[in-house]
Amino acid sequence: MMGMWGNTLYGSGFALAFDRWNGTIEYVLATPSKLVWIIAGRSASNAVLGLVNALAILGVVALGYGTLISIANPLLFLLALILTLASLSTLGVVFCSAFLLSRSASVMTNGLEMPIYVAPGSMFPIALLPFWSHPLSLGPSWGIDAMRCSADATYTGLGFGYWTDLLVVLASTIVYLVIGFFALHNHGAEGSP
Amino acid sequence: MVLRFTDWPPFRIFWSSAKFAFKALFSWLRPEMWLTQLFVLPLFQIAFFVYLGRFINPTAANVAFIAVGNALQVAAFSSIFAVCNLTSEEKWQGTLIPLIATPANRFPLFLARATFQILNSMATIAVGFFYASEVFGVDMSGTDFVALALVILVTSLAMTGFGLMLGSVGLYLRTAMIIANIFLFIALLLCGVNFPVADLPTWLQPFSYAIPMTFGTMAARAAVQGSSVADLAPVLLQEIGAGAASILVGYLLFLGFEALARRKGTFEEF
Repeated sequence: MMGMWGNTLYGSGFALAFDRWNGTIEYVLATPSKLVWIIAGRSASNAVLGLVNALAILGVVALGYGTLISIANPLLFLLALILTLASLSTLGVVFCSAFLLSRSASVMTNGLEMPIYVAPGSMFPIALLPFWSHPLSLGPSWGIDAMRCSADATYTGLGFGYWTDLLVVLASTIVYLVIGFFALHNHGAEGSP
Repeated sequence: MVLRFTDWPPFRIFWSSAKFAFKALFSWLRPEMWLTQLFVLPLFQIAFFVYLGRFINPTAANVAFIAVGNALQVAAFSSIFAVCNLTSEEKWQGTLIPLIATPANRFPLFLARATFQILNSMATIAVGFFYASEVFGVDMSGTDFVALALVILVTSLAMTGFGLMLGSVGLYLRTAMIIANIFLFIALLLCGVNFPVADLPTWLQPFSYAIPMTFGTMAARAAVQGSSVADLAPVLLQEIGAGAASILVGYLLFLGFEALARRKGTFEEF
């Protein structure tokens, strides 16, 4: 998950920054295609590319530590993974819209990397964090919980169950997409290459 | 005519390059963004590994070990990542060729560009130790702060030299960013930041001692526990040696990669 997070953050964050540096952002903005779908496509590809990280880590764990990770319910795990990837993609759209306003995308990306590793509970339970930070856990955090529920039948995690987790992921995906749509729509109107 | 030290060409090149690099950095990086990174990055890096450590082994000693190690390692973003990308950034901006074409000595020219990152590293580490003490509860009541300050200074200098060595690769490759990213996390793995070097496989441990930060983390923990400058002298000398070796190797690599890049025509990014 951390690999997918990192890919989404850097890939989406730098999606338009690279266009800006290479002088192609004007062409991207001038196309009749809606900017939000251009960015969503790039975010989705970056999130899926993060699966390569996941496979590499599974390989390292299997070969280096001799441990094979078993999944109790592969179909539910796959469903949770796909929805989590979708949530990550739409979160990337939100990041990109924020970075479009700034010429310091690389600084913001570097600064956001560690907070995003801490908040969602990918490596340790959110319960360890201060209670006031719990509402800050993002949609993909619930996706991680759903994947753990489907992989380990004894896992309790957040305590809301697999299907509730998926509902939150779906809802957050829609919210991020709406935010990203309006943010990029307004960027296109104002013009801030 | 009396020649002053400031007229000495290497110093003149060094000083003008350092001033230029500082101004150039803040022409695109707003101070508030830099300050945000200075205060946010150490907090969350230490938080990530401290909470991970609390999840696995929730003892005060473990938390202190991890917090102090990461307080020092946060400098890697400045000393490795930023410094390693110096040559790549010149390439991106299209200014590498004019720079290489100058008769100016390469050593002060590129060393000076890393000067601000040395100061940035020191500031980042200081913020890291503040968080380690005030947020994560590391007991620094017995700390020898003079020794700790010296450790911070030596580690910042040595790791910047290490970053310059890695950055010389950027002369030949299209970008050194990949090298910078890899070594950023190699430092986390090999330098005794989150667990002792002795816990690594035996065959990996010599590589740990090739990176100056390994000595820095050992010295920092000792300084926090009250070791004086005299007590830390052997470790600090080893760190200085590793840093100096990095700078020397880096300079030789730089000259070699410059010659290679000339032959292959890879001074441009595309």
